Amino acid sequence: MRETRKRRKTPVAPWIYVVEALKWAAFAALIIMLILTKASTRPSKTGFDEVKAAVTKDADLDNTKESDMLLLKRFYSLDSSEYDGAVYYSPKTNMGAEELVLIRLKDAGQSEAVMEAYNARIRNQLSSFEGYGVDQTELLKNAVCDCAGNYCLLYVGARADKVQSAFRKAL
Amino acid sequence: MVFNSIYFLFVFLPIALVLYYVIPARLKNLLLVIISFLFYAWGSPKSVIFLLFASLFNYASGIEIEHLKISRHTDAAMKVLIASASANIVLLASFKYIFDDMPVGMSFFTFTVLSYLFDVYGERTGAQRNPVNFILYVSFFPKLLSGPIVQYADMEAQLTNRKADPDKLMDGGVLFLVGLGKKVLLADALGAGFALLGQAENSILGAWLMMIFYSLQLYFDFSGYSDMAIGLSKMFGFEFEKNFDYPYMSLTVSEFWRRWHISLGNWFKQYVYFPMGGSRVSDVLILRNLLVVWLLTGIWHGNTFCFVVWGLYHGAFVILERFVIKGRFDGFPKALRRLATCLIAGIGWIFFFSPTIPSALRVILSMFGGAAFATRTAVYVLRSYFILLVLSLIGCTPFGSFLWNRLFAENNIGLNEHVLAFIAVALRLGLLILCTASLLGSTYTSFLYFKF
Repeated sequence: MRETRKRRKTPVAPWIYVVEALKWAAFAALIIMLILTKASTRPSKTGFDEVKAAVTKDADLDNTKESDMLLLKRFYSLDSSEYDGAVYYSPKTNMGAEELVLIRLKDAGQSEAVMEAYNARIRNQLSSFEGYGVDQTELLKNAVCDCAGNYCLLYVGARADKVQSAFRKAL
Repeated sequence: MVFNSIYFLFVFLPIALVLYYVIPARLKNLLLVIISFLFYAWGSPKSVIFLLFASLFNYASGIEIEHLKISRHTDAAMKVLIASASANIVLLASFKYIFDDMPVGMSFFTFTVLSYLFDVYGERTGAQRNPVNFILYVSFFPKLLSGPIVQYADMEAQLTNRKADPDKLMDGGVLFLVGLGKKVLLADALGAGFALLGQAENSILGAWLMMIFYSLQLYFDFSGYSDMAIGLSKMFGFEFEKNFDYPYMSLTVSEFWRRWHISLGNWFKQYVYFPMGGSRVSDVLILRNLLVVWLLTGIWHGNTFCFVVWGLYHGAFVILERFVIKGRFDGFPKALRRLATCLIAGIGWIFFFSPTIPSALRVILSMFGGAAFATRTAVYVLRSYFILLVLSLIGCTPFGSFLWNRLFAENNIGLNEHVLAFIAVALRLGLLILCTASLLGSTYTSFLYFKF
């Protein structure tokens, strides 16, 4: 008898339906936030040459030269054929820290690897120049590593803020 | 915000501790919630909205499940559990695999709330009625970004009944400092060496060094983070189990996984392996259970095929040890067995750091003769980082801890107690100064496990 009583269902409290409604409202808010975030990081339709022109216009590239993609592979371990577009301005001499890399991604999932490669290069250059290349170290500490939509930019050089805003504006 | 920043060390943490120790006990949890949200908001303010809404969603789910179970609507409780757990997993999967814009720590957050929901449904514990206590459980800042994944049943009592005292503050501070040293002095330096190797053309020496550098970097990076998280928690009165126990000293792969990221292993054991029957079923079902756990472990870590291969690779060795090897190598010298386990784990890490399977296979091929013996970069890295490499290898063993205990805890050199205490404080202060100097002189480096 006692066992039967123990197993008997009792009515569900009405407030539980309010909790249920509020709970799914919170979940819906999360989904909306997710969609809005996605919308703000959608791929840019601006062409590669256009973005390249925008960032190189403000960048100080006097101490750099446009290099072939083998150097990008060597210094960044990035294979240009895996991307929709890439350009690399490398330092003219070993004493130069100025450089610029612009990559158009094939998909957003590549951004993490590109940012890792950018950061690794900056870390490596910093350890090379630390202690004797004061100007270079300063430039490297202010370097721009930025991914927005389907473009990733690395820039080491003067007017870094201006180059970054030109990059964002161009997308 | 991250633990390895000057601002955290010298502004955020001291203020948080002072406030925590001076305010009345009844306000301590609320203060920790505010501190945790500030900590999380620092790098990404919009993530705080996610944290708040996701916390409220799971808080409500817990109450609902408990109420339905108490009123004997077990089927309805199960439906709520499935719907709520699915919603959490869908959110995680959307961020991680579709939108590719995951707030830091979301994988850890999801496992934390799932632990709560499962514990409430399984009546391992009751639902948390106090929203502040619940939000503190899921958002406590030391464990928020990268674990350890503390199961609700293990933290529940501490949410309302814990003691923060000077001894815990000191012990926690020392553990935090050790973790900081692992991260700043070892992991980051090893990371620089690894980055250099990544730029070199492939060679046998380079490929071996890549594997060794990454294995060590990952260990010091993540175990350093875990030490810092557990140490910080202790400073606020919480006691959590260790997350690493010298994994590279393991004799088998199964043992390696009992010593590496222990809280994740326990989570899978408690909420996946045991509910499927664990080891108390037929061999075929054990095989299935192990494969499911290792597949999920791989998927949890990342959204590339490499992680799936990495998970199954480890699963294969665990299965081999259980069903084929069955302790046949127990008579072999321990050093040899440790070396073999390290090699298996190290080759596994190659899938971890490689963006694609072919690139991982290229590194493995190079290791075993598919390239020139050495390049200039590989030799340069070996020479430049040799001392660091030796120190790091020693750091993977309990030797440091053994030496410290012999000298300071057991006082085997017979020094005056006060002198000994002074030396211990001076050494720790020296470590703090070294870490600070290193942080000041370098740019910010993230933690490897943040991306998982």
